[in-house]
Amino acid sequence: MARPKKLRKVINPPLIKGFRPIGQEPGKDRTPIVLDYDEYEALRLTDYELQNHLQAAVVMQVSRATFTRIYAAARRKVAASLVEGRPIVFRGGSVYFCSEWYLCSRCNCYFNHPDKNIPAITCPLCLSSKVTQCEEETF
Amino acid sequence: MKIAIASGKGGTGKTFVATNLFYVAVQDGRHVTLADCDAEEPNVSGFLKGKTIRKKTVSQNLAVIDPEKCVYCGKCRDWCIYNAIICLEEQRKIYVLDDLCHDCGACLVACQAGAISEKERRLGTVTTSVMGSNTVLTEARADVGVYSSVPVIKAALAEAGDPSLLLLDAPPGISCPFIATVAPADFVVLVTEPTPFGLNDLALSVETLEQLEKPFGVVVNRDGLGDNNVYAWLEEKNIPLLMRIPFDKEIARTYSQSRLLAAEDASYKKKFLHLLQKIETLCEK
Amino acid sequence: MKIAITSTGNTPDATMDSRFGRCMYFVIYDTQTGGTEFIPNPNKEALEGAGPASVQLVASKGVEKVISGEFGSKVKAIFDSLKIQLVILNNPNTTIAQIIEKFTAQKN
Repeated sequence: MARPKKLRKVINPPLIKGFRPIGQEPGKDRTPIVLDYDEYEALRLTDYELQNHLQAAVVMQVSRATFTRIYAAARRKVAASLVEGRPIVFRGGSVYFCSEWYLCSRCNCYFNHPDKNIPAITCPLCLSSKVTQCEEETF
Repeated sequence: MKIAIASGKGGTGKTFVATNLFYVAVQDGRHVTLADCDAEEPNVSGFLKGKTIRKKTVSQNLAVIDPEKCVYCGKCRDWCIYNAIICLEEQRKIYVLDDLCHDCGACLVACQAGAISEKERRLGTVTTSVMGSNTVLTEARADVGVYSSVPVIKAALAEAGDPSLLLLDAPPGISCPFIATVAPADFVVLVTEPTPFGLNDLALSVETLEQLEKPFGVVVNRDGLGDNNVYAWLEEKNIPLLMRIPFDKEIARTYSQSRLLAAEDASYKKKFLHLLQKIETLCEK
Repeated sequence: MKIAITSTGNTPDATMDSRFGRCMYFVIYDTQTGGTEFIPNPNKEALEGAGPASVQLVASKGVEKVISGEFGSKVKAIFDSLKIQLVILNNPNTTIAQIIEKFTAQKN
């Protein structure tokens, strides 16, 4: 099989499907600008969570240079949307969604947490709350 | 006649042999086509350049299921032999796994609710170039990230058609892309190197070709680099040894500079022509 | 609540099978009734898509959690969207009975 495209890690997708401008003039270009999930994630980590590019690149598991490219593309798109009055639509790019993984040291098991509506994290086997979050690559 | 040049282990010298065979065939006045079927990494164009006359896009149609129209009967899932569809009636969820979809269309036929349509997905390209009136180069090139390059290889084989001599530069290994390439061949040349990995992978290729009932012979490249176990093994298995190419830095240098050995060295030109004739003789039997 | 466990055999003293898609048996354990169902895995020899086909099998049994040794990349995303929790046990010698015991202990 060919070398797969390197997937960018996105922990949570955006809560909304996109944005529409208010008070658009009729006849103007309404073609939506598509913001990929990895571009959204880049904005979220940097402009919202205030991480620097190096930290954000580590989170998304890409090189710092790649992260800056994604981030620059995201900013350009958002700027174009504001200036040209075009809607924004989110779309999945080369990303995979990773639900967080946790390690219970008491029973030596790893487990994930797909239902984010349930807040408390306890081990599903022994109910211990002494769990640590971990990176998917460690196992 | 269709001759495939393959190997178990990669990097043994398939393209080296294929391009030089092509060169001597052209020089000998044959009508010959060389098809680069290593779609994941086609490299013949580095050595041989023709004038591009045709470039076709190869795509497949992936099944798309509309969750609104779907009645969750599970018929499409039952008909899909590739396990590409997951249908959960109770949860009212339906998934098509793009990587497993083989574009057979069975689910479309199975669906009574009109919920399944197709979306086109680009897989790669097939480029045809000419170097002379009867000298053709065909290249299969899969897009980066495509799961299976087999449809692109098959398209290249279709484009190459049925010239009087067709040389097929195969992908390495023994999985689906290799099988797709050797399937139409009348004879397979297995290129190997005299090392433990070379012999191990050669044995796997031989096993596969025996199952496919394809006649084949072996070229040992970089002779002198490793051990000589391969020769005893070939004798024991009664497999024809077609050619021995010694390990030679100059040959490596020529190849690395994208030059054809047979074009620069008269004795190798003779040896490769001899190889071609040997294969043809074996085929006539 | 129903839980799926991959198993090497069809008895409770069999060890957990560390593979998901190509395991020997699936055990469906119901925490309410205490019932255990052993299902031979029909996807063991599948050429392709053993993982997704096994997701189909356990999900249609209505499980909320799946316990195994490892899960392939194709299945993680599907389980995530079905909100089925995955548990990975590192000790390959754990028996089905020992795993079930952890759930019965929770009730007490």
